[in-house]
Amino acid sequence: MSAITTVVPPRVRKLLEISPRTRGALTNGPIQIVTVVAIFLVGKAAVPGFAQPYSVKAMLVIASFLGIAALGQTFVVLIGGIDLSVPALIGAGNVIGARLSGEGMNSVEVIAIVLVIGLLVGAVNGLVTSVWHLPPLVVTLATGSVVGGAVLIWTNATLSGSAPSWLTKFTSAASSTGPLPVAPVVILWLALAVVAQVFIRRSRPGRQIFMLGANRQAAELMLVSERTISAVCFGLSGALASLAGFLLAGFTGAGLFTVGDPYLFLSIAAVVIGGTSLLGGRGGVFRTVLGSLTLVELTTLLVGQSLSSAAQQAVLGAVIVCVTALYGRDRNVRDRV
Amino acid sequence: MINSEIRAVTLETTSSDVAGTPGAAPAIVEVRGLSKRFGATRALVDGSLSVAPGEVVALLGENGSGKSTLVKLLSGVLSPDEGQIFVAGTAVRLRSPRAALAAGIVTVFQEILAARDRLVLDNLWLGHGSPVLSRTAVTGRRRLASEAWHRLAGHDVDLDRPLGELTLMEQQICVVVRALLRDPKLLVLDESTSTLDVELRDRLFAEVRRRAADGMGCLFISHRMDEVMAIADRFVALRTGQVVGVRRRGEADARELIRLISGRDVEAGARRTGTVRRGSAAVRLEDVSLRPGTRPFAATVSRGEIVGLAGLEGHGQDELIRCLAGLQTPHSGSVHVAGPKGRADDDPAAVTTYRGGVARGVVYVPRDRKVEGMADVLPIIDNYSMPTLDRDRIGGVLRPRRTKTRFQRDARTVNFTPGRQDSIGRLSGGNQQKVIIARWLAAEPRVILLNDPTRGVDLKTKHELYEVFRGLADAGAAVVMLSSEVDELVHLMDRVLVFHDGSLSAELAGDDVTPESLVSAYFGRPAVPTAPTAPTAPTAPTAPTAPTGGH
Repeated sequence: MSAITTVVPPRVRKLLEISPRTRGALTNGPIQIVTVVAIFLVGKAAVPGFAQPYSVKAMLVIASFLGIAALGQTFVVLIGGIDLSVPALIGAGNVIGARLSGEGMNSVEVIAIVLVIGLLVGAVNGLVTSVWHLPPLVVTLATGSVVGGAVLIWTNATLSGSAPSWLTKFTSAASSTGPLPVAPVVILWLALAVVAQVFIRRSRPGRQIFMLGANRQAAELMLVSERTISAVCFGLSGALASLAGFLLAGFTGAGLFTVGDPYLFLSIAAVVIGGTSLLGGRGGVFRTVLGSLTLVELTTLLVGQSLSSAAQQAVLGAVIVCVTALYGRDRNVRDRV
Repeated sequence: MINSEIRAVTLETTSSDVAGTPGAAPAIVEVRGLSKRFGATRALVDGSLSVAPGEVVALLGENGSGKSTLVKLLSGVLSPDEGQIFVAGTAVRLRSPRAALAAGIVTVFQEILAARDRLVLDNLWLGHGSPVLSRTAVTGRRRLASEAWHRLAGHDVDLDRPLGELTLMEQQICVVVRALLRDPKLLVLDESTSTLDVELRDRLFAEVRRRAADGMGCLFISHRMDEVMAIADRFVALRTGQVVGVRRRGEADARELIRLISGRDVEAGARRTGTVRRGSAAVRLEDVSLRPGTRPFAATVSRGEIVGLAGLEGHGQDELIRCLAGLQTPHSGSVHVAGPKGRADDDPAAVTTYRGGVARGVVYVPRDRKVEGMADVLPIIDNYSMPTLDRDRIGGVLRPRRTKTRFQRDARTVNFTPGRQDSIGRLSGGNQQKVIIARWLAAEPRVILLNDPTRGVDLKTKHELYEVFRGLADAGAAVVMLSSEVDELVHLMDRVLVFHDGSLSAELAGDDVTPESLVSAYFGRPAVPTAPTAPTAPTAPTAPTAPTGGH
């Protein structure tokens, strides 16, 4: 390396040089992509029909529900927080969406109501944690419990409402989006990811998210408002979780609060497996997209092996630990001192 | 009490001759031909060094010269690629920090490595024994800890307070006392004096001397020449990973040592421009008292001057600079900052919040870089642009190219050359500080508050920073700089405000700022009446003790 730098003229050297950004993308990006591909190949070999187009389409649809919720979780994790109200908001979005639609309300209004509720609950999470400096773990669990209780009282804990027919089609693995052979919900997910990426890269609050997550005290001295950014991140998480819940109604047909339950673990796992640090300040949106894909592939693979749901859980947990150990780790203390 | 007979004279400048002087006591620690590389970087090449019982060896070098690498090798944090480490004449492999501790090599690292949420007592005994069995009983630990603390600091400490509630200096004392409690054979002090005030530093030196008389060796690292000259028996100079010279006490003066480590002639001190054209007042303090019951005082800072804030740790200078920054409010009185047009009478307004201060052009460079100054996992460019990002927006969207252009301009002003390194955490302390200062240049500051900005910065970079500060003042900014380094105060400052017991105790200007006048003011005594230096100084006979505002 040093030999090259002394012999090669500067202009050529510049061409050979990998920019830090590219280097970062190379060291952070491929391993997640490799994981997604590797699990796919394993699945293809182990489970008959795993790689069939219909199966792939179905996995993408399932990944998009998780992906949208995990996208929101990513914002919260980037500021060093955690959002445990995600399952409750998914349940709420699901029940409210199905019920209001079942009562004949216009879908645009329904979506608006669902989003606003998620945004408000999330913003409350953000403000309470930042103003009173309470741990988000407790706060979001509590607000989630409040939301869950309210929804259960409203519905008497029964299956209720029905999804509008367009939503069923929107989320059906069999449907396609114009020329693209995947369901519209998948396109919506990826579009949201692109918007989120632009937001964190090219907007002021987006950059401030990273600073707040990396060093709260220094961020304050760099004019980053902890309240605003917390409210934004938790608000986005809430809105995206309730949106995911609403979309799930198309998949489940009716509203049921408990559809959100698996997403407590899955939304956080998708973020971590994607490579966003739970300590805050490091990570990104596209990583979570890959993390969501990885998880859905894994669960499909385990289901395909006809494991009992208990065994599935155990294996999934073990695999997540391994994957996280592979690249979700924080730097060694030795490298930091 | 330095028993020079015991001191072995085992100096090696090269690896060829490494044997100690025959008949001398074996060195406590000796390293031969130590090398370490990180990728393409040779951090240390063929480093050799020994410390005899009772000897204090100063390791000198700029940032990146290999000092920290050597220290990390000695303390078991890193393993060498080549070379050997001998403890009391026996070759050892220090595979872990624990192994180094077991060998009697106790290191106090530059960073304060402590658990801030745990009690002082717990921190003092951190890492001692196993969690289940301990060699010293709890009551014994308490007594030993408080004795050791008292001996070093000269005062007692509440052992049952969380460490985080203590001042930075007391936290530093804690890690030093922790090291001393281990009864080291070799004590390695890596920049451990940077947060200590002169009084404590002298106490630490006395303690090191006392222990050295009992046979302890000490490897001492500091960027401050006065400290090095005060304590060391021998100086080992490193440059770009190699030992470039070894001198014994009395063989070389500070200038010679600086020449050794920098490879060229550098002026020993900072520079004060003889005549200062002071502009209009930029900051006015009116009847400010910092704490309940302290005497109120007034002061002004004008555009174009550098004003130092000094005093022993905890005597009010830190509170004042935080008040100026709007991070805390004075107990009574107010801080006024001139308006945008730069004339004091032109819309002067009280600053009560940090954001309000920034809006008026008051910027603050905090003391603890890692905790308050930067996010070390983020890129340099983010650490630079964060508070002024709105300048890079077109239609609400950030344009990274604009940020980059802006950064290149401000980086030039602070004499920072962006390299290939992307993360600010990998820069040297001095370069980190430059980035932090560049950050605020973008905010067009009129008042620049610097809280001990050269702490832990190597000499060469220090000088570059002084040039930057002087340049900012010449460009019309009012610079207020808290400093704990006497040299810096004497050579750089146009005026120095000295604090004692929470109030302004002396105001020294120009050539009245001498080490003697400073130190006596630190202790609340009036300045020595006999003018110690500079008889040619044309300064007006201002009463240095009068706490009146400005001139």
